[in-house]
Amino acid sequence: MEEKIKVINSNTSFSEYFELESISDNTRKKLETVDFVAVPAKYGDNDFCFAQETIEFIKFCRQNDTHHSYDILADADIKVRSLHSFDIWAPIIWIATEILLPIAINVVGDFIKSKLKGREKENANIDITMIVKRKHEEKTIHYSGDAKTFKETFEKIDLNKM
Amino acid sequence: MLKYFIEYMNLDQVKSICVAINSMKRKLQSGDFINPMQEFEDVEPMFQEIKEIAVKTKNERLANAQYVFKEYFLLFCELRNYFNKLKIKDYKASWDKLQDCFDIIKFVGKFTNEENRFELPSLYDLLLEYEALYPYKLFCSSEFVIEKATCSICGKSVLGLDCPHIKGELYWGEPCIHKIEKIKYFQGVALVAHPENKRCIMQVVDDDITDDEKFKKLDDFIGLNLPFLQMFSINSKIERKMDVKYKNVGRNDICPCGSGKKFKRCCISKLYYQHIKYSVTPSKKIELFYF
Ligand SMILES: [Zn+2]
Ligand SMILES: [Zn+2]
Repeated sequence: MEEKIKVINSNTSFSEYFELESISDNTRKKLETVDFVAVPAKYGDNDFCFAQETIEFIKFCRQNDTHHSYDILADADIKVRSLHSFDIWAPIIWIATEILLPIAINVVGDFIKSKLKGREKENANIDITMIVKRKHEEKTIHYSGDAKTFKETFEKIDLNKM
Repeated sequence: MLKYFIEYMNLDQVKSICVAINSMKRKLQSGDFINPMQEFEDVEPMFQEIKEIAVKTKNERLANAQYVFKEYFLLFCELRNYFNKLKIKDYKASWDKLQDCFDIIKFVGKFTNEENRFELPSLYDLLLEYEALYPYKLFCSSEFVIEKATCSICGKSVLGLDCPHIKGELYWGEPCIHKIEKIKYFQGVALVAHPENKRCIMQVVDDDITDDEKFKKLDDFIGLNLPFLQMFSINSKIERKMDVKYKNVGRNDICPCGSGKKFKRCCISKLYYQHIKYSVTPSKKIELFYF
């Protein structure tokens, strides 16, 4: 399996989502106050959805890392896009500041490990997007590839130079 | 979790369960596949009793270990079930049984460290060899948007963060299962090689291959009459074979297909065809673990 990391400069706006779902101000503020926020993606022409593993992932993070805050960008229940493959469809994670990126990579690595326990011999892909906020810019890092080599792949690259 | 369970050998129920699983493993090893679920039905109430003891003594780990061991027990029933399907050549139905066995092995593995999985890793490898004998390579995977789903443990929505349970984990001897109650869109079906569930098979509809031909590889293998718990590997070799239809046709003869052309200008490319020859190499027998 080949690993793919794609890094692009981005400028993500959630205003369409906020409007459409009448998201409260409290939830909107999460983007500035919470360390890691799972965010939705546009689905079809007129809808927003979260990735399959979103809730599991956030619960996992909250149970395994009490030093940081994890939340979802929603007022109430979310809609989840379900793809019945064994691949891990991890959420899009909004990361408030770039110094938290290594933490995110670690926790995603642990999440993968827990998902693969008992299925060590199977191949599995993970699809995950991290949006990292820097002072005046924003980068979107997308990884789609072998779940088992996720962590090493990121360890090999200099995150500061991304 | 398997080891933890047998640490409770001082409980009569655990002792009886171990006796029953040993006897069932012996049957599996000797090729006795009659009444595969009998033992499981006999011990099921004992598992329930162990769970009650665990709840009473506030021992969640024992309650969970009881569930894992119950699945482990069930695996050997399902293996006998599976091999029986092969024995009676019910290949179509055997596929689902095979997938049941895989699911149980993975489930038990989730709760057991790799070094404490007894015979499960070798059984997994064995079943992979069996899986490769089937003609199924592509599977359906459906995509949809879930709008309402609840947790089997607390009944709360699993689309928010109120429910503290994690899907597939055990809580007081019960697994957390997500019940999907409302689907917003059904976005269609995709073809994948690696689905969550291999029971949904993709088949070409307008092929005129009979079931016999489809399962030929499996059937040939079963015909070898190897013991079912024997590891094996299959090597395939592509051979060129001469089509007997053209055996006595000379290059300059009129082609037997009726085109009127000379053979060398017509069907000569069909003189040889490719034939895949499989050879089976048996290797070690799987040692089952007795308690
Ligand atoms: Zn729950
Ligand atoms: Zn011809």
